[in-house]
Amino acid sequence: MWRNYIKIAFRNIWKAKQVTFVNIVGLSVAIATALLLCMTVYKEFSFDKFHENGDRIFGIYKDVRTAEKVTPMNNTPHPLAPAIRAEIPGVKEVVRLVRNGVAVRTKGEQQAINATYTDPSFFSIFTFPLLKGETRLGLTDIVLSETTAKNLFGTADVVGKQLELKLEDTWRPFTVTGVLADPPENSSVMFSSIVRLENQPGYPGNKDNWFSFSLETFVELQPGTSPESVARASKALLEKYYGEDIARQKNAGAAPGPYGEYQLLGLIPMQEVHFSPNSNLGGEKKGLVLMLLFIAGFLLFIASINFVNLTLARSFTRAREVGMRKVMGAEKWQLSLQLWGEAFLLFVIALLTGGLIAFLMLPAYNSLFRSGVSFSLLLEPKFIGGIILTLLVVTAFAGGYPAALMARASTLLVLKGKMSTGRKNYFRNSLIVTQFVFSCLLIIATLIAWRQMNYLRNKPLGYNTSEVISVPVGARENGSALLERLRSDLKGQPGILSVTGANTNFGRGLDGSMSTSIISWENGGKDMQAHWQGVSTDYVQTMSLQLTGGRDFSAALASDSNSLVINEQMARQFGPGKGHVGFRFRMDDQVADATEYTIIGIVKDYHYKSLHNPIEPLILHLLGPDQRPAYIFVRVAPEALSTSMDRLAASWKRVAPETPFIGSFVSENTERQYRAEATLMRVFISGGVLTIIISCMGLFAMAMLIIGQRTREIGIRKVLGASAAGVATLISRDFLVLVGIAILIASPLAWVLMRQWLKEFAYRTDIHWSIFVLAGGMAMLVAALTVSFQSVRAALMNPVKSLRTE
Amino acid sequence: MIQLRNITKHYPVGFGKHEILKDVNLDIQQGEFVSIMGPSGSGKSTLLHILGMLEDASEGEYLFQDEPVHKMNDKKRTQLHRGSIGFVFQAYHLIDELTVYENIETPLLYKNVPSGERKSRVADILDRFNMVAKKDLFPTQLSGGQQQLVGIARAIVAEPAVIFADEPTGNLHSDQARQIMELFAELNKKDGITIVQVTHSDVNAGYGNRVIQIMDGRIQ
Ligand SMILES: Nc1ncnc2c1ncn2[C@@H]1O[C@H](COP(=O)(O)OP(=O)(O)O)[C@@H](O)[C@H]1O
Ligand SMILES: [Mg+2]
Repeated sequence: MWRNYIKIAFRNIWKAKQVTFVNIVGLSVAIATALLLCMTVYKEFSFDKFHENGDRIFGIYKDVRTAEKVTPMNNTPHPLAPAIRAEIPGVKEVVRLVRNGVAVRTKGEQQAINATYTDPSFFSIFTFPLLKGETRLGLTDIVLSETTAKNLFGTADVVGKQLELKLEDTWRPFTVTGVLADPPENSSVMFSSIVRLENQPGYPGNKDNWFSFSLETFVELQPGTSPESVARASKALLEKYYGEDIARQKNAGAAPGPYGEYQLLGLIPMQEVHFSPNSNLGGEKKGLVLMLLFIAGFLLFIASINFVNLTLARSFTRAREVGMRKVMGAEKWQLSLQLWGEAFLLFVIALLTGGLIAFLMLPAYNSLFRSGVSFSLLLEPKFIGGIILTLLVVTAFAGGYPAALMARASTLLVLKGKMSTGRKNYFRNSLIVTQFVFSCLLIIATLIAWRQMNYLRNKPLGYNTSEVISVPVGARENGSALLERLRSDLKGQPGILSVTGANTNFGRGLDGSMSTSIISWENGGKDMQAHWQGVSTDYVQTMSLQLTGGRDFSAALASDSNSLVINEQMARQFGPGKGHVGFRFRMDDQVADATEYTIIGIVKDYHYKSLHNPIEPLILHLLGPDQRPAYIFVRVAPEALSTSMDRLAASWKRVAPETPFIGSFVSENTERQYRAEATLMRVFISGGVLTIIISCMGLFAMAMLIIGQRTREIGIRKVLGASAAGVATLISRDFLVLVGIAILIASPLAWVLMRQWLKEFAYRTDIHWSIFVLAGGMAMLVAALTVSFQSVRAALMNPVKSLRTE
Repeated sequence: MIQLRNITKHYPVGFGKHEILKDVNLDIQQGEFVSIMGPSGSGKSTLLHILGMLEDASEGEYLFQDEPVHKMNDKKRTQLHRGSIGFVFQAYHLIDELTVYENIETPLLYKNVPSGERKSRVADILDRFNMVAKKDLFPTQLSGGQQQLVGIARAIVAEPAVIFADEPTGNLHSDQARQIMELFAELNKKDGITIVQVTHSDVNAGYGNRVIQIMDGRIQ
């Protein structure tokens, strides 16, 4: 019996070559995409699960309450961790860490690596397997990752070897005590080399400073201690060290939290760090990841719809066989099993093909979506289980339904070939509509996202982005000294207009970082808050900020060290009579000798942050001698931009030979701020294209089958004098009505969803009605083209031939 | 073997009903060769379908081998289809995707006949029908007469007690028809298979030993 079934399955597949081909290709593509997407999703959700004590490890942040909202502060100050350990019961271990670039020297050779400055408890809290040596971390010890060890020494056998790190401009010797396996891809805590926190530049000044927030802090709790109890206990601790701040919050009318607190520590379970907006190591958008899962699901879904529809349509031709088998005494389950088995066979073929496609596409996929997944994931038992489950569900749905329908139908009807697949094909049609709803949704989403991206790219930001080059200073150089060297080297060179520096970049530079610093103080009984940016002289001029009053910072005036340039929002925050050029104020009213600042210039509001955020009050101050610019900005003449870039690179090589030049135009950096959106766009576009292709494949095969069934009707119509165009329209119309219905359903849905998405931006485009028309038109056109292939063929058929086939 | 008592068949039409068989009484004995004749639309096929349990009568009693059919469950009917009843159709209804050999073998598969016996039975039948050379061809590669021979071979391979044939020669020309009819006569005499056929031809009816005339759903 089985041989009989398998034989007939293969012959059937062969007989309906075209339909089967469409079926398998559509499914394979869907399966390949779903596999890739699921691997990404799986990886994203597997973050930080490998720590042995993972359920007792928590990341720490601080919530600060004001009257309106709770502001989380992701970074923690140096003394917090020791205080938690000493004062809060139930805390077993604490660890602080911060990661920075550092120059390293081995036997005279220099390289740049990342150093993680941390406490020795790092090794007992986190689970990173030790390959060589031990995890001892004295003040002059260093632990390397395997890759870093190999990069530096050419081997992982490096225990006891010496190297030097350039910390605060001096080379200091370190001894390698251990080598750890590279942190897995799905680890939030990454490292290439590990040294004691005490080595961190600026450590002595920050050691007991509760007001400098720069570290990540993690705690490991005693078994049985709940994170809530630690959070509750943190109230007293914070009151002890931030008493003044809390008093000020109270005065400003802040609303206390559930424990009557104004500040409280938050604990993020280790496994949630990756998706937590409150951890600097996390912040991955869960929504985006779920979106991938959703797209994977619906691609499989629409490919399965093709399958169901094509199997159903084919069941007309299979009806006689099924009927005859019933006459010969086949039972329902035998027929169902046979038909389901055929579906299963097709799916297994598609699965193998899909797996192969996914394997071949993996490198391209990884580079397109920066996902870093590897095929070894497929061997995880959970993943295999998932695939098998999907296979069973989808085949039961796609093969089982038509099978059950046929097996249940009355033998006589089936035998006479009068098998109907439901009332007027409602089922089939609603599946086609569903497919096109998804297609239209994605087309509309793509168009709206694309328009928004264009808007973001083209919106004037209020400063010059296209003629300013931004260069990160890097870890090896002293920013102030480098800036001066560069200024004098570039002086008088053609095409170089002006040079400045700042401690924050615009957008996201080639070093991948983005930062902000916010200060708050009280002025005349009013709570003030502003972004605080250190810049060098000629900043306003270099960035082409528009002064509404006052002047730029000038190198010629020594008094500028206490001068400020503010934006209009800041002036507004000061209130009338205060925020004007020449206004003087102190940030601390209580302390008599606090610095008195003078406003020397006011600039028009400009978008120093991404367009997700509205423009907030901003204060620019001049960087002091001990505060070094981390970025250098060079304004070049609009003509010959790339020549100027080359000239700057050459100059850089002269003044900073040890640091590679990674300059980029600011416009590139500001575009990089929309990386998440750009990724989303790519997801939309790829998802949309795939959805449309797969839907159209289904439509194509369906048209072919329907025309096959209507051969006689078409023949008779032609004999009676119908024109080719008339016949083609007759057939296409039915399909286009379905697509039309889909457009009507998809449009309001897309409108609601995309309006939600646009809300993420402080500055956004509207959703114009023409988008829906355009998207509908596109869907209609693609569908019409697909069907017309078949309907034109049918219309041109020789009627005599088609009549004779019956 | 077959006893029909006051069998009536009607289909709903609008608010009323369309009577196709009216008060049919019929006895068929084991070993008979019966021909049902009548004009088109008189209800011959319907009667045959009821006899073959492809359809249920609306009213009346049907005893097959002394068992009441209307009380049989699906399983029992399936058993009868597998073992006791063979069908031959005007349109042959062979499975296009299977070869001649496989088509004939299929009923035996459903009957769970062991593989060795299956082979010998199919071989015997192919031999008897002079079709050994054609066993690996597909139905579409055969002439109509040959297809119907395969249809008959398939109907008798499971050694049924009765064969129902609905215009088995309707699509064939007279030479082929004669061959089929001779085969039926032989099966009836040699193997003792009861045969009930629907036919329009007096010649074909002549091969049988009894003719039932049907007109407007009534047996004359
Ligand atoms: N499923 C059905 N529903 C309604 N009427 C039917 C159905 N099947 C057959 N009939 C009607 O029953 C009558 C007898 O049909 P049939 O038994 O096929 O006649 P015959 O085989 O003698 O030509 C015809 O008038 C036909 O239209
Ligand atoms: Mg008939």
